[in-house]
Amino acid sequence: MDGVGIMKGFTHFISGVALATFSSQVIQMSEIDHSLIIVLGGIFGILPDTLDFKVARFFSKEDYIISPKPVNMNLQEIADTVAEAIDKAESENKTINVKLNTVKLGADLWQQYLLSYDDHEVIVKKGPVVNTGKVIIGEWDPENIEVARAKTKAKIYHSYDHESYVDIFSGPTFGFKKRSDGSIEAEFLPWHRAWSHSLTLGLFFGLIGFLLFGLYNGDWHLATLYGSVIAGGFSIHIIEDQFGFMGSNLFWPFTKERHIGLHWMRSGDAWPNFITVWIAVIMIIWNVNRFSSEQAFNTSFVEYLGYVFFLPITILISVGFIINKLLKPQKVNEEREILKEITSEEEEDEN
Amino acid sequence: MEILIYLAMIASGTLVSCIFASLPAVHIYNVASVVVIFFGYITAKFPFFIHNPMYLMSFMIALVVGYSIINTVPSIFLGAPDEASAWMVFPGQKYLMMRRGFDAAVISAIGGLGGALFLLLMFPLAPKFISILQKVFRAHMGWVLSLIIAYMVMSEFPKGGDIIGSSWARFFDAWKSLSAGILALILSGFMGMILVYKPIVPVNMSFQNLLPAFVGLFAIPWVIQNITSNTIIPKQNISDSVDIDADQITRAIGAGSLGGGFAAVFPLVTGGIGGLLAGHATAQRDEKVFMISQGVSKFVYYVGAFFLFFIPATNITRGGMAWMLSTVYIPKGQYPYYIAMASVLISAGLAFLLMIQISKLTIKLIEKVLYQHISIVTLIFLILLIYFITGLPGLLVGFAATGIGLIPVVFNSRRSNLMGVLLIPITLNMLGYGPIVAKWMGLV
Repeated sequence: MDGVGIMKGFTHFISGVALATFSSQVIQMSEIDHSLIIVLGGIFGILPDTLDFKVARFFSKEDYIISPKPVNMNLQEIADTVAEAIDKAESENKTINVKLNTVKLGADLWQQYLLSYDDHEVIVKKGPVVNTGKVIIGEWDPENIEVARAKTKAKIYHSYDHESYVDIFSGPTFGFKKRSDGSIEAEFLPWHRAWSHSLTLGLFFGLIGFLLFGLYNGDWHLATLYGSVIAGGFSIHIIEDQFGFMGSNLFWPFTKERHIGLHWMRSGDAWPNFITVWIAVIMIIWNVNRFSSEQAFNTSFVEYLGYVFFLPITILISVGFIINKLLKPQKVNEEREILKEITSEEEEDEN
Repeated sequence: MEILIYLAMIASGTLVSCIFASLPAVHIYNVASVVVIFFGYITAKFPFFIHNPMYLMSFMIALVVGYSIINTVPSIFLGAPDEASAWMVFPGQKYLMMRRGFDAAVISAIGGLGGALFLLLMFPLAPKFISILQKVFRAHMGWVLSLIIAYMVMSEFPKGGDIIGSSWARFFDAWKSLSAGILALILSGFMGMILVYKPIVPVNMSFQNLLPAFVGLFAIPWVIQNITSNTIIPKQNISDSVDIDADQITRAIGAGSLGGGFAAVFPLVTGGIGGLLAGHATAQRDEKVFMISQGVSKFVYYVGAFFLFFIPATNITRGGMAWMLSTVYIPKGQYPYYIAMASVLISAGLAFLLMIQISKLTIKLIEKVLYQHISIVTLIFLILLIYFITGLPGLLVGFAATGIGLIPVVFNSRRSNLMGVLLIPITLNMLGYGPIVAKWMGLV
């Protein structure tokens, strides 16, 4: 669960800002009146995740809390408990939330375990020991790992990903709930991208902004602009998230379920985020220039894109290629050996 | 002969920076100010300087290049980061505790080389782009800085909230660190307002005005933490190579250049903020990418900002080094631009090699002397530094700043919030609210 939305936060923020700059009036207000209307685009761009990670997360109720022991970790017990929760969700026809706690081994060491589902089966695998950077510490043979399985009466439908990693910081929560076809959906982080990630809520915030600024200023045209920036910033976040796996509850409170994402990328993927940030920055510069009272450059949009997007991307890819060619195979094993030594010492300390 | 003099200047500049950058909290701008003051004396003794002040230029470039690469060493090994390094110290210190402090220093210095590569790539493009960028945002800096403040507040992730208890108990537990972060931002902002409107040193020494605040906010709390936490530094491993692939380096150069470039080009945006942005444009889970990107960002911020001064027909004075050099020399034409680029590249290579040796020496030091003792000596050094540069008023500012700087340490919140010391007063001034707030605070 760590980091879900952390990196994307900046992407959403800058996207909200970029969207706001498409209005000439917004730019002119910012330039002449020192208005902070653009900042609202950024604030509401990041707000859906703020609501989830700083508020909703703490009010999610958990029916089962699984806290595996660091020594002699009982994988079967974990699998059995999850299976019991799934069957309970089926028999009682209500959502059952299960929190899987992480297993901390040392100051910067975690025992990873993985949870996955088959049609009628919960599968728990023991992963490697990792540090907070998710670097594997010590020996790890993926071909020879401990596995526990537990059968369920109900059929399981898993909407998010094939395997869920439980490793660093606080672990994930799964919400098990009955679907219309009778199967049980394993919903990853049921408190995330639910009510907070709704286009309807974005419109509602926009309306609130419209009313507040309208009543305060009496200028309803300006109020419309404020409302649009707020709703636009909030909505672009939801739309961007929809490119990922998890999806969002797009029309809460009218819909109750998440709409599955397009599965084009993951929220933590570096390159899509980086490219989005880059494009947003490019659009901000383009819009600020064209709508300001004095233009710093006059060029066609295609030529501009060539200079600020295609040229740097080509350079970056070329640099990456050259570095890749120049770098000799590194002594990965040496690094692993050092880490292994540290691990064994920490284990001795624990004992 | 001329080339040899340039090379000698670059080498001596890098060596001088190597000495001072290894000391905690000694900013290279302070060293440079002494260099400029003694410039008259030097030119009298060595007349060739009069005919070619570009020798001084190369020397000062080497100073800042060396600083931006070598200053990583005290940040990681002595736990006394400057403002621009504070953001990367956590993974650096973590590596230190894993016996890999040397790796951390080298990884971050590789970022410095990446920064030099970025400047080289920008070399043909900069004369056109930089001035355009500055013109575009000239009248828009108020909201740009406000965006940074808004992002700093909104992007902090709650620490805690995993306690067993009611939902509200978990909520309040998580919000402890967030509230402390916001408090640190506001208090440091207040301090910044006081320092801007009631400076403790003359205006022509404005960088020194902020020195006690920066040392108090960033360096001293870290040193105090080192003293009180009874940290025992494990024996350090000195490896022959570090495991980094092309994808990591490319991503780090991209992200670090974006953050550092933003800080270098935009007035009043500091290296620390550039580092924050670089960090958030990088995959958080990959500590190596993160550390490289911080090295890139720091290099591009310090060196890139100075480099703007040499762009033909533009001569943007951004940062302390450019202001100091501009008092004795204004570059004209293409030639200084080429010399400046060459100086950056040669000095960066030299500084990288020196950094390896200094890291090894520092490791020997921390292995022989108890870390607490080093930290106590560092603390005394920092206090004396503030006192000798800014006197008793500076010392009082330093103490007050330490109090504020300890808030994120105690509550485990983000230290970059302390950059409110610069961001808040400058943003308020840009938006036209500065004098109103100053009046409200009784400062004018």
